[in-house]
Amino acid sequence: MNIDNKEILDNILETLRSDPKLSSYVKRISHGDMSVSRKIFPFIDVGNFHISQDKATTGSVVLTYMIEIIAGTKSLAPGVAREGAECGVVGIVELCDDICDALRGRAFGRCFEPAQIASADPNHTGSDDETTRIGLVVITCRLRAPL
Amino acid sequence: MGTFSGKEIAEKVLSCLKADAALSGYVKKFSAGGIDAARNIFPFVSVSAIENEAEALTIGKAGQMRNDCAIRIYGGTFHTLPETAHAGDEKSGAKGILQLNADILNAVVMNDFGGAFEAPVKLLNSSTAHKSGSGGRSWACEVSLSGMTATDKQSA
Repeated sequence: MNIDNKEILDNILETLRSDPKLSSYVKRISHGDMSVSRKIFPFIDVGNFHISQDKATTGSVVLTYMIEIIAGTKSLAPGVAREGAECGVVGIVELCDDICDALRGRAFGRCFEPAQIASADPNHTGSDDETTRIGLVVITCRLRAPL
Repeated sequence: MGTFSGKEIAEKVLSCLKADAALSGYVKKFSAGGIDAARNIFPFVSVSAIENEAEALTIGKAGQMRNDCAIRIYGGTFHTLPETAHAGDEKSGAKGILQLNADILNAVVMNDFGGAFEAPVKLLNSSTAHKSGSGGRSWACEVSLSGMTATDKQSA
């Protein structure tokens, strides 16, 4: 088998970092850092990988990847972390949309079909006073791993 | 029952993981048992939770039984830099949970573990997650496999 999760991660990070819209306002695009207290907002972090076996032939195994990407925004003004503001501050709803736009239809690593958006949830979590909003985007892609 | 006991299957899976060239190059501890992080040396691999399931393949008594066995393999990494614990660091050679997870999958998927299973096992699920409260400095992965161990006759 020749499975390489890092290659897929690197491709996703490269795609997010090279997206002109995201790079214009997202302050940090990282992976594996799950501590919100250390973040510089707005941020994107590529986190959990879930893999399942789809089908197997004598020569290869098809694996389905579900990759979780969290994003966060922060503003002390009421509702701005979620909806954004006309002055150009981007909220979590727009940030999740932009992540989806950047990743949808892209092929990562040796995946044989374009990535799909499994879910985009701008209300994943956040602080009680709504100054911080965390969204979750889940993408799926399929990889054929030769035996 | 199948040809091998649950303990023997766990030992065969563990032997397969220990013999893997990629894993043995950096994994500090291979064990059978739980995922108690307090006692582990990172990176670690642990084989745990052998679950057996038997299903009658015929309606009548004394027909054939199908015995399935599910195994869970856990892996863990730790680093003070969350990004290194997650995806490793090429300069220092440190491995993250994504590499450990991929190396475990490369070693076990479509493997019959020296005849412990009648056919190559199927990957049910593989997940990575950070340890709650660690902020991403401690990551774990779980690989669940299932396969048929034997068919035999039910007792009449």
